[in-house]
Amino acid sequence: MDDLKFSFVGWGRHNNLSSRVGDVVVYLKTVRYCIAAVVFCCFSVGNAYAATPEALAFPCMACHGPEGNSQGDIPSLNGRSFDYLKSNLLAFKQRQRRGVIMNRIARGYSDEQIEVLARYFSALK
Amino acid sequence: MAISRRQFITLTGAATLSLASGHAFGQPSKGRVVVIGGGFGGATAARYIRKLDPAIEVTLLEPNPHYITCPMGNAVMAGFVDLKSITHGYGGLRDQHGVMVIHDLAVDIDPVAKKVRLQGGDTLAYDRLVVSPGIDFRWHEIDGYDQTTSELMPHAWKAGNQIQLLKKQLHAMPDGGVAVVSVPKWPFRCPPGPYERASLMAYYLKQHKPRCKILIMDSNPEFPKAHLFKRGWEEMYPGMVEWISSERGGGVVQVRAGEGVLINGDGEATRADVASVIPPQQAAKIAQIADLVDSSGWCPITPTTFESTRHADIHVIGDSAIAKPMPKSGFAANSQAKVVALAIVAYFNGEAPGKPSLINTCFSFIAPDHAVSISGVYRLGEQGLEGVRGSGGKTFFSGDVAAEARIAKSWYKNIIADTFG
Repeated sequence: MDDLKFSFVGWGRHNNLSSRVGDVVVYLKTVRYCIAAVVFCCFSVGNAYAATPEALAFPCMACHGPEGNSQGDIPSLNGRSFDYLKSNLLAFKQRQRRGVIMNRIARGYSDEQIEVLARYFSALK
Repeated sequence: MAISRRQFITLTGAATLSLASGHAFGQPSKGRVVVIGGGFGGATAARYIRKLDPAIEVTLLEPNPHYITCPMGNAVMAGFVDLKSITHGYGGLRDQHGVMVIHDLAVDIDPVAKKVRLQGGDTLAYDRLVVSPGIDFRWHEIDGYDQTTSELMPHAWKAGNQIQLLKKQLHAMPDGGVAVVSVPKWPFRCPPGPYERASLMAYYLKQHKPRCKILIMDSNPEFPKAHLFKRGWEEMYPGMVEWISSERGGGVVQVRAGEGVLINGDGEATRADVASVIPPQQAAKIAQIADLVDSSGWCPITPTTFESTRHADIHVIGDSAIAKPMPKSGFAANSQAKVVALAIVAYFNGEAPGKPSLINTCFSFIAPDHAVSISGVYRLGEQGLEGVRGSGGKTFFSGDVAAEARIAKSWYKNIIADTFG
């Protein structure tokens, strides 16, 4: 945080090119550090929260039906391929696919948890 | 132990089933679970425990032979869903899953001897108890509102007769009349339910008695999905629905049911042709009797396994439990039941319980082809249950409300199959 403040303060204070280049380097390093920290946090939270496949998958069945077998407009999950389920869940999470409810739900899971869910439902007949 | 004929048949049925499921006769089971309450929480818990481990005996206690759901109750009131399609039996749990179903009421729990006493006189021993009895009303907290006057001003907050009663009253209402929905202070069962009720009253009245008005008299300063409801009212029922917040004197403190009068905290009277008075609530009676409640009238739990913080080996789920930030909904109860099923099965197999993961979505119909929702994904955080950051939320203002209505209808079929199937 101190690094970041320094680089912003320094931005306007130095006029010569070399010190600006130096600021850019400090700034980029800081940004890179922050991104790394955020990525690390997300990754470690995802890993640390080790719910079992059943614990993650059972709540989905309230909407998608027992064993992922749905009646009506909500799609069934059972028998879908791992790749299909994973790519769709990630697309909902990343807002690349517009969903009615699923955008809001998919954002509640780490990428690792999404893989676990895709594996669980693709194995159901 | 006296066994009624019905119970005898149920018991024999269960014995046959345990044989069929490869359970050797005479072999001791891994443990006995008793579940109190056959709603979304209790039925799901019973079903999932048996599904996960058929060597665990599960007995479900539910006084009623059928369960009439609260979800879709307002749709029955408005006439676009029939009562039969929201009425569900326990045959699936008994015949497909080997749950022993006893239609009796639990009247006491001995948490030390680990026994449940039934109204019929029998006593059931348990190793683990699941308590999912729903809500009771705090009669008389609204002066003049009790079981008798609720026939005149139906709460319809436990489905069945009360929903039919409210429907009849709407049908008998004169054109140009006033219908009131009175909302208690939080927390109560189904937080967006009163606003769905007002919406679907408007849906019915607009077709049959378009000069009627609906007043929502609210004991709270705000309500869930308010912008979505208000938009729906303006678009579909202009001028028909008015919401009166607690700050504008909406909170009803007294009724004179015989005259159709509701009175707010300032002593101002409102006359209604139809009044649905939803009274303040607390955890159901058995939770009060068994000392599972705190001073709030609801049951504190530890969120990892939903075990009572007051008595060991008792799990409390559904509307009775304090499970903030989850709302009191059928969906939440179904999700909590799965956490409990996994924890109980782990316990009987000598394993530690895993981390809980839960979902809730509350759908509300504003018209049969127009629904909105609020969702959440929950897990265990440092302070207890928490919504996963960035997840959940409401229908977008630009969202496809017609698709939500179709999805809500599909959800209903699926959660019923997941709970009672």
